[in-house]
Amino acid sequence: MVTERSRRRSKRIKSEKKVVVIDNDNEIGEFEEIEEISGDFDTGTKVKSPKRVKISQLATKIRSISRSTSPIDIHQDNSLWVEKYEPKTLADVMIHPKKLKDIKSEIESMLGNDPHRPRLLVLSGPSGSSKSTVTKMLANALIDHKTQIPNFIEWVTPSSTNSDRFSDFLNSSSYRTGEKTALILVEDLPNIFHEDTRRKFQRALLEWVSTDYRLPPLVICITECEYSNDDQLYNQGYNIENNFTAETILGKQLLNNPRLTRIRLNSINFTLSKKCLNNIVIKESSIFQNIPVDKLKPKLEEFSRYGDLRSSISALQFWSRWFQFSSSSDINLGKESSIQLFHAIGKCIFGSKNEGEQDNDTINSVMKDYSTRSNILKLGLLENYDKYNSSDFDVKKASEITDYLSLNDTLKPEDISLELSIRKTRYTLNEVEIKKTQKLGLNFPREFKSYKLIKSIKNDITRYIELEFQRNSIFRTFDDSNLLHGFLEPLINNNRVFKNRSKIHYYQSINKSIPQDWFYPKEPYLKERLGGPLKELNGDQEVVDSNDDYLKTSYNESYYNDTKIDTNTQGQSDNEDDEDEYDSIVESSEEDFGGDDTFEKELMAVSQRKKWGANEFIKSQEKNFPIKSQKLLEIPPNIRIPFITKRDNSEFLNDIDENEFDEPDF
Amino acid sequence: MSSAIFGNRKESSKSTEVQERLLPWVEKYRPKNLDEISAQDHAVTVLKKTLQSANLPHMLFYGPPGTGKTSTILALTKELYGPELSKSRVLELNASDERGISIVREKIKNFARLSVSNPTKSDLEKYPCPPYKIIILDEADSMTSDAQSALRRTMETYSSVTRFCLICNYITRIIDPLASRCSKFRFRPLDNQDALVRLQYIEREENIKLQENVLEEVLKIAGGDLRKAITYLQSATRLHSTLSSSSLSNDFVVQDPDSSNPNSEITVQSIREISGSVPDDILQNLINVAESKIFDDIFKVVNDSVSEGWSAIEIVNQLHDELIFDDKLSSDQKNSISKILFETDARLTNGTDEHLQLLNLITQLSYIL
Amino acid sequence: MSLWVDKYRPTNLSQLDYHSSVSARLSALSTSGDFPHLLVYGPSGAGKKTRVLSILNELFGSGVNKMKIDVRTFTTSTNKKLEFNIVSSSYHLEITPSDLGNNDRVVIQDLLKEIASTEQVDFSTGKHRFKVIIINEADSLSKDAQAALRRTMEKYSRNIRLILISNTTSNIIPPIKSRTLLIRIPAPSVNDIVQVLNKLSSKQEIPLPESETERVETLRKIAESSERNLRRALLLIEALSMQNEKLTPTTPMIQLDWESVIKKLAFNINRERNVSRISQSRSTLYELLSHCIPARIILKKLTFELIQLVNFKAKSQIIEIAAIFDERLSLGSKAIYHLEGFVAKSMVAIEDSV
Repeated sequence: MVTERSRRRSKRIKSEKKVVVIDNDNEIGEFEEIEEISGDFDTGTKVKSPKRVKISQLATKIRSISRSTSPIDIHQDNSLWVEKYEPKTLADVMIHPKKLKDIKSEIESMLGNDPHRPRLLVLSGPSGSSKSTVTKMLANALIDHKTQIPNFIEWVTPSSTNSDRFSDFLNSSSYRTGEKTALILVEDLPNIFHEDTRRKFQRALLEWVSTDYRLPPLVICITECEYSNDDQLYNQGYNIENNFTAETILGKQLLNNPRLTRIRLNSINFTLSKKCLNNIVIKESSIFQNIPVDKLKPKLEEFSRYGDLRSSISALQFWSRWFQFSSSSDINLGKESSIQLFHAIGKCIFGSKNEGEQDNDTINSVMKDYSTRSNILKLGLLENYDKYNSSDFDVKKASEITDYLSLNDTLKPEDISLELSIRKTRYTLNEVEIKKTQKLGLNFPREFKSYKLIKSIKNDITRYIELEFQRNSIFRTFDDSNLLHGFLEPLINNNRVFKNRSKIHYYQSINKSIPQDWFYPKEPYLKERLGGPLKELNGDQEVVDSNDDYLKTSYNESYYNDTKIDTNTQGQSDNEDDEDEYDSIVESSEEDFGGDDTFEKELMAVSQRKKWGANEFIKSQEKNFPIKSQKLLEIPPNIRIPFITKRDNSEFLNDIDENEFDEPDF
Repeated sequence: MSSAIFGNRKESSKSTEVQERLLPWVEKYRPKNLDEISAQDHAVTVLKKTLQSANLPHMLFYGPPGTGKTSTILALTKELYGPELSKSRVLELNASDERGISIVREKIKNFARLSVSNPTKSDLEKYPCPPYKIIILDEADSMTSDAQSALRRTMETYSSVTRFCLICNYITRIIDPLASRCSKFRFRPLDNQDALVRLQYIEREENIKLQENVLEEVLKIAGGDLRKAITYLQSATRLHSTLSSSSLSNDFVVQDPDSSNPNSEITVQSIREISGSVPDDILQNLINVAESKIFDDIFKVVNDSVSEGWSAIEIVNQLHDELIFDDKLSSDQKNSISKILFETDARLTNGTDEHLQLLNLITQLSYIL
Repeated sequence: MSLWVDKYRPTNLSQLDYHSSVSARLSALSTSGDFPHLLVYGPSGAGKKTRVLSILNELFGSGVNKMKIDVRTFTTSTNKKLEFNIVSSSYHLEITPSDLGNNDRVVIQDLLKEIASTEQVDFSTGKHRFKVIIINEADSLSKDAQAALRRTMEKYSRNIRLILISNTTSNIIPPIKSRTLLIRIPAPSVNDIVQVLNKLSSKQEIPLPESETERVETLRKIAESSERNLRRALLLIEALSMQNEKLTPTTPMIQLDWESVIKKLAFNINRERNVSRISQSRSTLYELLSHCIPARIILKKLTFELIQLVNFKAKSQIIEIAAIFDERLSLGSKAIYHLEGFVAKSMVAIEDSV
């Protein structure tokens, strides 16, 4: 190996000894680069991860050892180009000028005095899109200190697991205003995969945007990426576990806050990347002069397509060295650029492609990326094929596509089924003449949203079945409950309550005493359709946070939270006395409607237990109309009201088994 | 206290009686020796020959259900070892409940490894008692091919002390290497005459009261499956014996249009009900509306027969018998009918909706008829 | 106080209002103190379960009604925890295989083995030494599980009796059919339902018309709109009498919410046959699916609603298409493909027939 290399190298370098050294160094260089490429997620250019520091330390060590044994070639440059050619000024930063202007004006206004100025700037984009570089540069450019205080403070996640650290950091940074103004940069995120930490992180930021004190500008850089597979999507929905975006990290509540500005950065485009790489080639002419232009040029273009400048430069450096040893320029380098879901769907449906690419190539490239997660792409095709030509095409074509997609759902193996689906969709749509220029936005497959909803409704229905079983010892089937009882029971119950109410009015007006058995139903009853009313499930153009509002509303809360059955859902709310009274009343009362409106007041008049009635009335009011002002700062609880777990339930059932089932109700 | 004990004793004797009564006739009337096997002359002759030489090859019995495969091997083991010895010499494994490689390996190995117990003198006098054990693998075609491959090796390893008998419905589902190690015996579907003789024998033994043509009907529904035929007969007998002892029997019989005498004779009707087959008038009605080609009528009649709970797959099967042997239809028509019947049958087996499939079937038929 | 449908639920065979011949048969079986394994089949809402529970009531007395739910956990071979409910009394227990997913064979085998190994000894009578196991929705049992059941039925026939409840016998493998006594429970006829409703009106205050003919006419209308499902009829009449001051033959019927959604969908598909309508249909289909309405029921209802609207040629085509997509529902994994495929194809069929 060494001898072969040496022979080639000896043309350029005279000393045999040196070559060995250089080879050594080169290997170290390669080592570092590999680390750089694989470990390059989005650590800032300046901030080295501890691992990398270690490796470079190691490299220095090795180098010093080799130095001691042989003289070193001082002309050989061992630095990483990524660091060497890091932009020094704003003009060097490879970013679209318009975006740069946007970011600049945002930070300026954050530093300004406008009372409605933004508090928080969120920069989101793929890795290597210069988010943090730009921020740091701007901080240096815009904040002018007379003192030596640094212009920005950066959050570094501590190794300790204390989840309060982030808010402490924000608190301690909040005084950096006026004279000592500094920009606060959050690039390294706390461990947001841990739910508690994430909530605290979000809460701290919410507090940040809602306080009225003067605060320094805060910039959060989020490197977005999705790394999902179908399994995860089903188990967890589209959430932070598999999808790393501003939505999942910050949550909708924060993103919708008017004092937050979000700027999305795209990956660095071809022209800019190429310009940058060209500059490097010129500056490193000592290396590139030996590489023929016809070999170099296609490589430059290839590297420029990566969309991530850092990996483009690394790849270029690595390739240039490789080329010196091996005449073949064929080496697979760089980032496995994965095609994002929407991009892939767009390719399959609109046939959007790079220059000179055939449909076939497009499909192959999509297939390469999605053969292992075919479900989401197939669903994406179904969700979006109708967006072609603004839905203006023959219904026959649509039926061909859906028929094929349906057939392919029954076929195995998955990758072939996916390929057939893609090809059919693409070729069928290709036959349609495009008339409309306006493109409809693509939707994210609804299947996952629907799946979540199904789970929650199933939960409701199972709860209903269990409760009915406990109350009446009647076991309903799932379908009966959902299809018949779910709709008809609330109808019956509500009408019955309404009917009785008017009767009571009448009896009261003629001063007649009211028969006890009129009050129905005794126990909390279904007031709303089981699992909530049917409503159209629309597609979303963006990825939704799984904790989102379509799951927030829960129905029939009073029914499920029946204190008589469930012991642990009613929190330790007021004082103990109230609770006791409430319980005893429910048990003895014939008049408990569980209604939620003014009828409660009438009930008070009828029953003499005024105190409870009033309390309950307020309670139910609170349940239905939560106080808005609190909501603003409150991070919503994960999902729904706490249900008792099945295990608890069964134990509970065993308990009441002896007491309550001795006398069946019928 | 004593009464309770007495009660118990009385009860237990009664329960053994119940057990006796509950014993499936299929077991009760299983052939005791090879001569009693109905209508498998070829297999029986060959096996008898091997019986004389007492040297048995590995065997593979295949054929449709209810043709006496299990009965044959059980009878054979009885003749080889006698009732006592066969308990320790024969292992019967039912593949459907315990299959998979581990079972094949463990159970068979353990059994094969046990040394052969010595026959008693009396047994030796009466039976050949060859020095090997027999392992019967029933429903071998539902074993995974992995398990079957594992079996191949086991068969060879223990061939000095064991003989295998594989029983299956479809020989195509037995892997080749396994099949090639066995002598194959094909079991033909029973023809009605053989089966009828057997049923008549049971009728006499059990003293069943039957109306005319009931046995013929049983055989027709069973379609060459003697086990099925015997099971139907037993179910019908049980139902009718309980009915006759019950005061409600009159009520039931009134519902039976073709029963002339209200005692517990088994009727053709009740056999059909037990087997789940569809009455002729319902079937004819379906054919009639298909011929009428009036969609609303088709819709209504199909709706009714589904609501009545008639099994769609049963309707498909019976329509097949009805239409394919109908001389008035041309070959082309029959081709098309077969196709749609086949499609419907396949879909129903895939667990589709009976109502939709039946509606489709009858609508399609209306175009053909 | 409970719903009428619960309040007047029959608990023994003599209280059953229709299918007297079936009741007689079951009653005869129960008087003998023992019965073979049963396969009770018939359309949903026909009263299969009620009858089965009635037999048990007859056999074991009211102790059968003292039921409880147990949650069992089962660890599968892949080390996944599986939770499912078992409803049981001291005489019987009930399982629903659809809770078990792909593991139904192992779970059922284990469960039956466990039950069979614990002998039921009743010292006071010594009578019913067997335990009854009811398997609901037996047609959704995998073929694998059914094959396993066939052996278990014979092996443990001393200790346990199985009652399989199923909507159809089409999915039951022949060996099971031949080992069980088949009992068909047809759906109640419209007349049967009218009678039950009439009987109910004597016990419960229902604002029915005075005149006998109008009264029967009203009940008949309710019965007809309940699709031969008694539970539905009872819920309907209760809802109607709560909603209206007076019930007459012209009282508008209550439509189930999901059914009217499907009806509207069918109407729109027939009226407007283009790609945007398919997109809108998708929202509606997802709406129904998300609400746990079974895909097969959506397909069936939609087909029946559509064929009411279109001409003869399209009718038979739509049925044919429905039959194909019905099968795809069974073979595939995601219902939306097949439902949307059906919608698109039906549009083409309607378009062609116009």
